[in-house]
Amino acid sequence: MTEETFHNKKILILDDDRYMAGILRSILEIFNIGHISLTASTDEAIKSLQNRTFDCVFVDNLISADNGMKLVEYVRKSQDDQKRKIPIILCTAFTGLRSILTARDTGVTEVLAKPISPDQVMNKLSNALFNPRPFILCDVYTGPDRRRRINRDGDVKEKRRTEEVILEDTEKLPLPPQETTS
Amino acid sequence: MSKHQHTLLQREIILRAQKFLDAESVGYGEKLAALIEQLRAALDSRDLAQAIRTTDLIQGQAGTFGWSLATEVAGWFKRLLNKQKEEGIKIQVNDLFLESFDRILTEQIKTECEAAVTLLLQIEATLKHIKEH
Repeated sequence: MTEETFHNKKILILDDDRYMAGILRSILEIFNIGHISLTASTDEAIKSLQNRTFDCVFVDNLISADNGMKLVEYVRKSQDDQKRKIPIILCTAFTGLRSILTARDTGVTEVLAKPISPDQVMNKLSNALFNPRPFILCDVYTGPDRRRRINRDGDVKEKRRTEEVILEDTEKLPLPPQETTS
Repeated sequence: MSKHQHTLLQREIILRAQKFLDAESVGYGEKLAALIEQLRAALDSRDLAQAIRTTDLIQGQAGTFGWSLATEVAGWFKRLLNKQKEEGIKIQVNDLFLESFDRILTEQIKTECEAAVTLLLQIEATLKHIKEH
């Protein structure tokens, strides 16, 4: 990690638990973040995003029935290229595979598992701001590259669910019973 | 610690933030007690929405301040309260969880320990018993 500082960064926090939002804000203030805005509802957060620019958004997944995903979808579907690419960090106590995959496939940049720790906040924020993954914009997905495997050389492994990969995988499977020769 | 290589400055910042969190943790027991009272009041007035909201708050907050068991139990309780929205209020279940929260507070059961395991097993056994009868 390099010596990048946070002082010129603008952060938006969406959390309807004002106490926890305040705790996260205090941590970010200790990190010397330049500007921090708190919002308590998805609609309020969307208004803030319409009126101002932010470098990163923290979303708590207990915000409402949509688990914060409504805001993630709003950002990723934005027509404004800069807004669409804002890194989003999801704070969640649910770290089961399904929850993580849902967050990832909606376009969340980083998942910050609760209980939050300053160490993890620093890591996730640094990754999101200073080490962004390539941004993918296609018919079925908009968000940071979901592939995270890194080669020893530092390159992202180029593995996608292409026909070639499916064929390659299929070749390893045993033939189904009706196709085996007797 | 994570795999990230922090600079000395960053380590100092993280340490300062951790000290801040630790200081907040000292008084969190009182805040948790207040939330549990709020939960009790919501259940007494059969306000399930408020009860679910309060379990949400406990689940989101407690773990950060070292009360991991309270977070775990709040998660269980929230799922059962959500079921009660459709199936009707189950006083026995609610009393079980309120008593469990009281024990967590009075016995200061914060994280994984023998007392935590005992309490979780008791909750599980009682829930099974309630379901069977």
